[in-house]
Amino acid sequence: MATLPKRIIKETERLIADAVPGINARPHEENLRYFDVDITGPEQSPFEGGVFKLELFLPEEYPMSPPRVRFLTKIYHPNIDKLGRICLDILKDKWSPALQIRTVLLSIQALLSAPNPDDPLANDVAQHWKDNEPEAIAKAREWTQTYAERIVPPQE
Amino acid sequence: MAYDFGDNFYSNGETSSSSNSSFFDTFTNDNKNLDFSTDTNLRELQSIVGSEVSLPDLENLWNASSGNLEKAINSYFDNNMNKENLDMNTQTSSRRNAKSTNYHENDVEVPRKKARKNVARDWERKYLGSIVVSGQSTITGENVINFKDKITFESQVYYQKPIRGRKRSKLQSCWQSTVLKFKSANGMQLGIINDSKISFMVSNLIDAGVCEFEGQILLVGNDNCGEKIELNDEMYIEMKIYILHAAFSREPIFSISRENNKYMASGPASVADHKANDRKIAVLSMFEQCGMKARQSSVLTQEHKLAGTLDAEKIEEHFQNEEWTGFKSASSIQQSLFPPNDEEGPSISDQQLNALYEKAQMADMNIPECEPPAHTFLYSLRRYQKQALHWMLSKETLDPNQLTPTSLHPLWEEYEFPVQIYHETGEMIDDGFSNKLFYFNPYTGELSLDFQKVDQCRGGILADEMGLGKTIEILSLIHSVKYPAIDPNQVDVVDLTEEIKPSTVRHVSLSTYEAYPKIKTTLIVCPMSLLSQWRDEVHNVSAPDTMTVEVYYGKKRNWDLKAIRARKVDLPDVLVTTYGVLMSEFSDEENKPATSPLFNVEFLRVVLDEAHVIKSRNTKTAKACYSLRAERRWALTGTPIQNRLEDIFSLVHFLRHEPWSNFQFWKKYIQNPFDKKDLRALGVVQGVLEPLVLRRTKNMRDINGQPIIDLPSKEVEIEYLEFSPEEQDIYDSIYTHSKTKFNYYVKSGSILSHYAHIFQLLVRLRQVCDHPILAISKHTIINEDDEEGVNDLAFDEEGNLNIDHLIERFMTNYGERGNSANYQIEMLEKLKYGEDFSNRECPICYDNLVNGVLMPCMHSACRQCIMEYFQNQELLGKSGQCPVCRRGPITENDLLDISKKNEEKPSSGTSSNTNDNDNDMTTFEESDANLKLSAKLGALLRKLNNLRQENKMTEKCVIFSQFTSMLDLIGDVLAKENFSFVRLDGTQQQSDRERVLRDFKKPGIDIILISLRAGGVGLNLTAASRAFLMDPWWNSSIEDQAVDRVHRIGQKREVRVTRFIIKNSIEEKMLSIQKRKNAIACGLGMSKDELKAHRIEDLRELFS
Repeated sequence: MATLPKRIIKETERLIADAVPGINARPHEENLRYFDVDITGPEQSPFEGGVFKLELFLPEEYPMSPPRVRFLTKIYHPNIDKLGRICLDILKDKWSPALQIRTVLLSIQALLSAPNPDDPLANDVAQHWKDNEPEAIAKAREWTQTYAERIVPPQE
Repeated sequence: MAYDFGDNFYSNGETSSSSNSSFFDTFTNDNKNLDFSTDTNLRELQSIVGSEVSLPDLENLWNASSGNLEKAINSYFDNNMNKENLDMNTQTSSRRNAKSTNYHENDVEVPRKKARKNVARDWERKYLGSIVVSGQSTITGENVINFKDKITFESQVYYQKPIRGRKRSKLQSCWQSTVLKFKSANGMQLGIINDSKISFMVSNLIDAGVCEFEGQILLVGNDNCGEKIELNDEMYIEMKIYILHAAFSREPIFSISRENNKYMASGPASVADHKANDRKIAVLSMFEQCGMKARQSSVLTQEHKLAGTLDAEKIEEHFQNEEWTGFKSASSIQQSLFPPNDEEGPSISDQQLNALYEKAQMADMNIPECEPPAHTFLYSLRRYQKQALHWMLSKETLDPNQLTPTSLHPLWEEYEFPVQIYHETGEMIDDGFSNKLFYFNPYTGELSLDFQKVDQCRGGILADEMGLGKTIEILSLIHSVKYPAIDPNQVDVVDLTEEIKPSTVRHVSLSTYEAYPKIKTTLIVCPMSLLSQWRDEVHNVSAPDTMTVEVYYGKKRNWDLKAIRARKVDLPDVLVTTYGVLMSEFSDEENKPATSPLFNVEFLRVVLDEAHVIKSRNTKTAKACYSLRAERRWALTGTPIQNRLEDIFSLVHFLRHEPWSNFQFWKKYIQNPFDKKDLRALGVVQGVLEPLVLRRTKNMRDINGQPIIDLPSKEVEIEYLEFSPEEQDIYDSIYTHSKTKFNYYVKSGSILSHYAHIFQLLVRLRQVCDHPILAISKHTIINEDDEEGVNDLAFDEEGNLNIDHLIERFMTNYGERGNSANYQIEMLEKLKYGEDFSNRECPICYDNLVNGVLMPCMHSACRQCIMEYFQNQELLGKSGQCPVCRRGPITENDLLDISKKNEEKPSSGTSSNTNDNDNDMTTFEESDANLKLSAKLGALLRKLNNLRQENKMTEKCVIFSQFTSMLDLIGDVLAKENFSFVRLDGTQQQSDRERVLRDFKKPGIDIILISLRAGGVGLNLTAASRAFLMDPWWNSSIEDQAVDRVHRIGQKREVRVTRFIIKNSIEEKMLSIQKRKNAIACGLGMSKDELKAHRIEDLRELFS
C-alpha cells in the first residue's frame, strides 16, 4: 500500500491529540484510511443518551474528494437513510479540501441536533417529521434507546 | 482739492433705514414723467444692463418698472425682476454691504459683526489707503448727487448663462459677473463702478471679510455737480480702504504647517481654495492700489513678484480667461482633486542631475577645513573630509543673525499699517493702537498680526559620492558636537574641541513633565545590512570610553520612556536603528500616536543613512522619518535623486528646509514648472540645493589640482559567452513559449495588466542564461534579498510592478466583497513586510507552503495543491473557489505567488511520487557526474582556476548574482573544486551577515558569493579586488553600486570586473536597453503615457 499522505497522518494525530467532545475517531491499524467513529447524541436532541457508530473512509483522492461516512447504528433521522447514508452537502458537492475529518464529524453532530426534514434522504422519516414532529421525535428517541444505548458500554 | 470728512453727515439716513423706501418711492415718482420713447429707453436700459439681456426681457423689465428707467435699472441689478431672472436662469446673491458699522440694511452682516466683537482687541479696523475710481451713474435727476456725498459699496454676483458659442466646461454651466454698485447713504443706488479689476478686488475683499470701504463722490463727469445728472454720467469716487481686525484672526485658508506633515497628503482643491486664491489676488491687488510695499520680503518672493507668478498682474490674466470669476474649469479642479500619480513623474536625466549638483559643488572647493577633536576621534581625516566637517558644523550652528526677530519666514512679507492722513491739514494721526505691522503670505493669502518666524533647518544633505567616507564624516561631526549647550549662541564652532561641562548639557527642567524630552543621543537610521557597520565604526573611530553606542534592533529595544523622561537612564551618544524598525514602531494614524520611545523623545540629531530610501514621500517609512523629532537633521546619500526630481523633495521635507518643505510650494514653483519642461525650474532647484547639499565625487580635484582621493583604477570587461547546444535548445524552447504568451498579451492589449506574468517569463529566460536548471522550478518569482522585505516582490523602479500595486489590485477586485477585511489586510501587511510564508501550513496538504500562492481572499495554499483542486472542480463543471472560504470564482491568474525562495522541499501531495520527486538540486549535489556546467559556470570556473594558478589566490573575489539559486549552484561547484568561500544573501540574519563579512576579511577565504540586491548598499568589500557579475540587472546603476562596494576607499589594488553576458540572448537585449535608458531619460520630462509606451517598447524589444 502506498504511503499515507502527510495530511492524513497529521489529521489523525490532531484528532487524537485534540479530541472533540462527543466525538471519537480511531483509524484501523491495518488501514489507516479507515476510521471507526463514535458520536454521542447531542444534548436536548432526540438522540441524547445514544452513542452512534459510524465508519469513515478516506478515498485515494482525499482531500480532493470528500471522505465517505456512514452511520452503522440505526437512527431515526430525516437526513439519514436506512443504510446509514448521510445527506450532508459538505460530503457531496460542497466538499472543499480545506475541510477535514474533524469538521465533517462536527457537521454530522450538528445535523443530529438540527434535523432538516426539508432536504430529506429518508423520505418516510422526513414526512413523519413534517406531519407530526412530536411523534417523530418520540420515535427517534425510542430508536436511540433501542439501538444506540445498547452500545454504550462497549462489550469488547 | 479739499473736502470734508464728516462722519455724522448722513447719520440720520443710516439710522432710519425704515424711511428709505418711502423716500425712494417719492423720488422715483417725481421723475416718472420724464419723456422718453420706449424704444430709446429700452436701448438705454440695454446699454446699462448689458447686451446679453434680450429685448423682450427688457420690455418686461421696463413694464414692470412702470416705465421708469432708474427703477428698471435698479430693479434689474437689485434682482427685483424675478421673471426676467428666472428666464435667464440666473440667480443673484447679494453680497455683504461694504458700509462699515451699524448698517442695518443687510441683515446678514449683523451676526457676523457680533461674532467679531467677541475677539479681544483694541481696534476694529485700520486705514490702509485710498484710491480714486470712476463710476457710472445709473440714475438721472437733479440734485441727486452732491459733491462729497458719502457712499457705500455693495457687490452683487450674477450667475448667468454663458454666451453661446464660447468654450466652456461641463461644470461651469453658468458664468459669473460681479457688479460693484455704490449707493447713497440712504440706500439709494447711485451707480456702478466701471473698472472690473477694482470691482473684482473690492467684492472679494468685502466678501472675504478682509476690508471695508468708504467712499465719497469727488466729481460728476458732466461738470454740473449738484444739478442735473444723466444716466451713464461718469463720476469720480474716492474710496477709502480699511482692513478689518477680523481679517487677521481668521482661520488660515490652507495653513502652512511647519510642525506636522498632515498637508503632505495634498488636500483636495475645493471651491474654498479658489475663493482663497481670489482673496489672495484681491489682497495683492489692493496693496498695489494703495501703493503699499512690503517692508520685508524674501528675495525669492520678490523674484516671484517680478516674474509675475503671484502678482496682482495675475488679475489681468484672470480677466482674459473665461473663468475669471474664480471658478476653475472642471478639468483643473479634477486635476487638483486627483493629482496625477506621483510615482509616474518624469524621471530626471543625468545631464540634469549634473547641472543640479554643479552649483552645489562649485563652492565646496573653498570650504575651510576643521579638525575633529583629536583626543576622542582616532581617525585622521582627509582634507575633503575636514571640509565636510567644517561645513556640517556651520550648518548645525545657527547663524546668530538669523536668530533675531528679523528673520522672517520666507513665505511671508511684512507690511506696515499706513497712518491715516487728513488731507485738510496734512497732519498725520497716529491712532495709538497696538499693531504697527502686519504680515501677509502672498502664496496663500493669509494675513497675520503676529510675526512669522522661521524654523530654521539645522542640517543638510551630505551627498558625497559613494566611497568617500560619509560615515566617517558624520562620526567626526558627532564627536565634534557631542554636548552642545541648549543655547545656540554658546556654541562656538572654533572651540568645539574644548570640553563642555556636563552641567551645561542641554539642561532641562527635571520637575516638569516633558512630552518630548530632549536627549543627547544621535539617532542613526540605516538599512539593516549596515547596522553593525555603523556600530563598529563608532567603536573604531572613538577613543575608549569617549562615546557610547547602542543598537536598537530586534530584541534589544528596551527603552523606557518613563525613565528617559525622569532622566534616570544613561542614554547612549549614538543609537543605531533600521528603517524597518522605525517603520514598524511608527503609527501613522492620527489618533493613535506612536508609543515607541523613538517618536517620543527629541533627539539631538537624526541621521538618515542611504536616505534615498525615503524618496517616496507617501511611504510609511518616509512618514516615520518625518515624524522623528530632532534638533538637527542629516540625510546621507550618494544619490539624492534616483529617478525623479521629487525624490529630493522628500529629503528637503525631512530636513524641514523652509519654504521648500511645503509640498504645495514645491509643486508650484519647482515640480510643475519642471514637469512643463520649464528649464528655469532647474535654476530654482539649484538655488534650493546649493546651501543644503555637499557633494563631492571621486574624480574631483582639490584646489591644488590633486584628486581628492586616490583610488586604483577600475577595469570593467564584458565577457560574451555562447550557449552550449543543449542550453540553446532549452533556451529556445522557453523563449518560444514566452514569446507566444507575450504576443498573445500584445494582441489582446493586456500587456500592462499582465506585467507580473511577463516579468516572470523574463526571469525564467534570464535564469536559463545562468543555468537551465534554475528555470526548471517553474514559478520562481524574482524575489531575491530585498532589504528587510520592504521591496518585497518589487521589480524595482523599472519594472514598475510592486507589491503595492498588487495589493491595490487585489483590494479593488475583492476587497469589498468580504467581511474578512481585517484578515486580508493583516495578510497584506505580512506580505508587504516580507514575512516568510514558507512556514505556513497549506490547508490542503497540511505541509508547509511549497510555491505558496495567495488567493484574492488572502488565504494561501501551495500552488500545486490549489491547482489540483481547481482542476478537480473543473472536472465537476464548477469554477475554482477558495477552499477555505469558498470565495470565488478564482482562476490561476488570480493567484499571487508568495514563495520566498526556491522551495526545495519535495512535495508530499501524493504518496507515489514522494521519492522520485526529490528536487533536481539535490540530485545535482549528490551525483557529481550529472553536474553539467553551464556556459557561465564553466567560464567562471576557468577564470577562478586561472587566478588560482597565476597568483595563488592572492586576490580575493566577489561573485554577484541576482538569483540565490545561482549562488547555490556556484557554491556547489566551488566546493567541489576546493575553493574556500563564504556567502551573503538576504535570507541571513544580521548576525550571520556580520560573521560572513568578518570571515571574508580573514586570510584563507578567497571568495564571497553575494546576491546582487543584498550587496548593493553600504557593504565594504575592499578586501577583494576581482568582481564577477554573473547576470545583468535592468538598471545598470545597481550593478555599478555593487561594483563600488569593491572599488572604494581603502582599495589598494587595481579592480577588475567581469560581466558575463550570453550572446544572442535576452541578456544582450537587456544591455542595449540599459544603454538606451539613459538616452531616453535625457528627453526632459516624459509624460506618463510616453513612459508607458517606452516600457512596452522595451518589452517588445526583449521578445523581438
